[in-house]
Amino acid sequence: MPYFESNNLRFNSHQLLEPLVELAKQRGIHPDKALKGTKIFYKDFENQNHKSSYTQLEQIIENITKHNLSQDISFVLGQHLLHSLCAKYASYLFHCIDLKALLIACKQLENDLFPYFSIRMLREGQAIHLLVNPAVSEPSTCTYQFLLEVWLSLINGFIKWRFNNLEIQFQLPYSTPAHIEHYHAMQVGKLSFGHHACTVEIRKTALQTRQYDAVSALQSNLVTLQPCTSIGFLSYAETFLIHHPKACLEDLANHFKISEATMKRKLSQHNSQFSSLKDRVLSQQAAFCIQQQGYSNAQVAKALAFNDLPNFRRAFKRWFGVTPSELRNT
Amino acid sequence: MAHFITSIKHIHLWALLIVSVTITILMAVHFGELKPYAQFEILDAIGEGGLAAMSLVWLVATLLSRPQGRVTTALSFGLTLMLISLLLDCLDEFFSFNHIHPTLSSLEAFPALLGMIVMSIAMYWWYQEQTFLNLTLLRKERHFREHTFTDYVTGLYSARYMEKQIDAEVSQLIDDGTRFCVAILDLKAYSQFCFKHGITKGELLLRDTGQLITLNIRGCDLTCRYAGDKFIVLYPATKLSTAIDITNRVCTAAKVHHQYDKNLVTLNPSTLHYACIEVSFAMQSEQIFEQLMAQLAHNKQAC
Repeated sequence: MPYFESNNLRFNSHQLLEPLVELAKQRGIHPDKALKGTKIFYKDFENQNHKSSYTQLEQIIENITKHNLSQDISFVLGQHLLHSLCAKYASYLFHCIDLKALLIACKQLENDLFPYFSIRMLREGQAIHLLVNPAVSEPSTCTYQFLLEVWLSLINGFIKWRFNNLEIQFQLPYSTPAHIEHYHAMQVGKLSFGHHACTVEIRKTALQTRQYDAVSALQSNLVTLQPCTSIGFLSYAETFLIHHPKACLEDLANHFKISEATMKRKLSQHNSQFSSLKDRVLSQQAAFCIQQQGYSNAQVAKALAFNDLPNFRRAFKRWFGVTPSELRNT
Repeated sequence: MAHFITSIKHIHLWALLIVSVTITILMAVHFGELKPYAQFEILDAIGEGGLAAMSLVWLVATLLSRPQGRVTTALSFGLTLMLISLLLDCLDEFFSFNHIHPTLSSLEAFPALLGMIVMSIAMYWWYQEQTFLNLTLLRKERHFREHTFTDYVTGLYSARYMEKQIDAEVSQLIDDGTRFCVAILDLKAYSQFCFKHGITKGELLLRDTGQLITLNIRGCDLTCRYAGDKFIVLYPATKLSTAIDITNRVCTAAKVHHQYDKNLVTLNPSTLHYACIEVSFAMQSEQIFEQLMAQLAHNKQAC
C-alpha cells in the first residue's frame, strides 16, 4: 500500500507512545489514565515489537493534555525523539554537508523521522517555505498543537546541536499559548502565532550553512536505512490534489482505487472531507502566491486553475474571511 | 492476593470502615422493626442518605490522598463515627427501634458528636503538621499557595507563579520604590547530559538542580522553574551586586555538586549559566523574562 490509515498498527510503540506514557507517569498521570480508550495496556509495552496506530497516539495525547501538569511533555518528548532518531539515523543525517543537503535527507526519510506531518516545499526569490500539515488524519486543535510542539522541539534541538546561528522563522497556526515560556526556553529563531497554517521560512543564504563535523564521504548509503515509502492517508490525498487542483471526489477515489462512497467514508474516518482538504491545499498555495510572491489576483487564479476571477475571489473570502487585496495589505 | 491486600495503603482503616458500616446496617436490620410503607418519609431518607454518602466520599478521599500517620488515623476515625451516625439517621426512616427502648432513636447523634470531637483534635494536629511542612517550603513559596502552578518534575513552582510574584513586587516598586532583582539560571550541558544518560536522569538532574538552587539562596528569596533547564530566582528588595553575589555562590555550589545514578556512579557535575537584572521601574513580567533570556543568550555566547 502506498499509504497508511489512522487505524493501521504501523508505528513501533517504543518510539513515541511509550515515552509519552512514561513522561506522563513521571508527572503524576497514571498510565491507565493516559491509555484510556486505546485498548492498550501498560504491560503491552513489555513486548519490544508492540505496534500502535495514529488513532491510539491521538487518544493518548487527548488524555494527557487534559491534565494541567502536562504542559512541558511535548517539548521533552521532542528531545527524547531527537535522541532516539539520531541513534538510528546519525550516520546519514550528521554527514549532510549543509542545511540544503540535510533538508533533502529529511525529505527522503520523511516517513521514518516524523510520519505524522507532511512537508510541502514552496520556493520564492529569497527564501524557501515549508508548509507543515497533518499527514495521517485531521487532528483536534490540542493534538495538532501538541504534535507541533514535539516537532519544533525535535528540529530545534537538532539545529542547535549541529549548526551555528541558523536563522529560521516559524509561523504557527494557533494563538500565543499560555505556556509560552517553553517556546522561549527552546530559543528557536523567530516565532509568531495565529497564522493560517504552520510554515517554516528559511532564507536561501542559510541553506549553505555547513553542519558541524560533517564529512560527506562518511555518509551512509540511504538504501541501507531502508526508508519507508508508505505515507499518511491525508498526505497521499493531498499530494494528488496538489498535482490535480481541478480534481473532483471521483478522481481522488480513482486514485485510491476505491469507490466514491468508500472514499467519503474514509475521509470522514480521518476527520476530513473532500472539500476541506481541497480548500486547504488551494488556500495555502493562494496565501503563498499573494504574500510571498506578490502575484496579482489573476495570476493566483490561474495558478490554482480557477476558471474566472469572481469565483476565485469568492473562494478566497471563504478561506480567509478577507479579500485577496486585504490579505496583501496585512 | 495476600501481597495485593497488604500493599493497600491504610488497610486497617479500610477494614475498620467496612466492618463498622456492615455492623451498623446488620444491627439495624436485625434489631429494628420495618416500618409500614405509608410511614416512609422518602424525601427525608434521600436527604439523610445523601449526607451519609457524602461523608463516605470525604472518608474515601482522605484515605486515598493522605499519607499514613496520626492525622490521617484521627480524621478517619472521626469521619467513620460521623458516617455511622448519618447512616443510623437514614436507616431510622425505614426501621423503628421503639420496641427495644423508646429513647434509642434519640442516641443516633452521639457517634457524630464524638466523631466531631475526634476530628477537631485531628484538625489541630493537621494545623501543626502544616506548620512544619511550611518550613520545608521556605524559599519555594511566598505569600500564597496555588497547587495548579506547581511544576511536577522539580517540585518547585512554575513560571506562572513567578509571574504573580513579580507582579506583586512591581506593585510594591510602584508604591514605595523598593527595587528587586531577578536571575535566570540555565544548565550548561543539559541536552548532552540527556543524550548520554536519558531523559529520566535528565529530569532527576533538574530536580536536584532546583533543590541545589533553593539551598544556596536566602530565606526571603524564591526559586521557580521557568521551562526546560531554566530556573528563575527572585531576590526581593535586593541590590544587583548582592543578587549577583548570591547567584555566583549558587553556580559555585553547582560546580562541586555530583549527580549519582542507581549504581552510585558519578555523573557529570552540573554547571550553570546565569543572567541577573535589577528591576528599577515598572515592567511587565513578560518583559522581564524576555530581558533575562536575551541577557542569558548573550552571556552564553561570551563564554
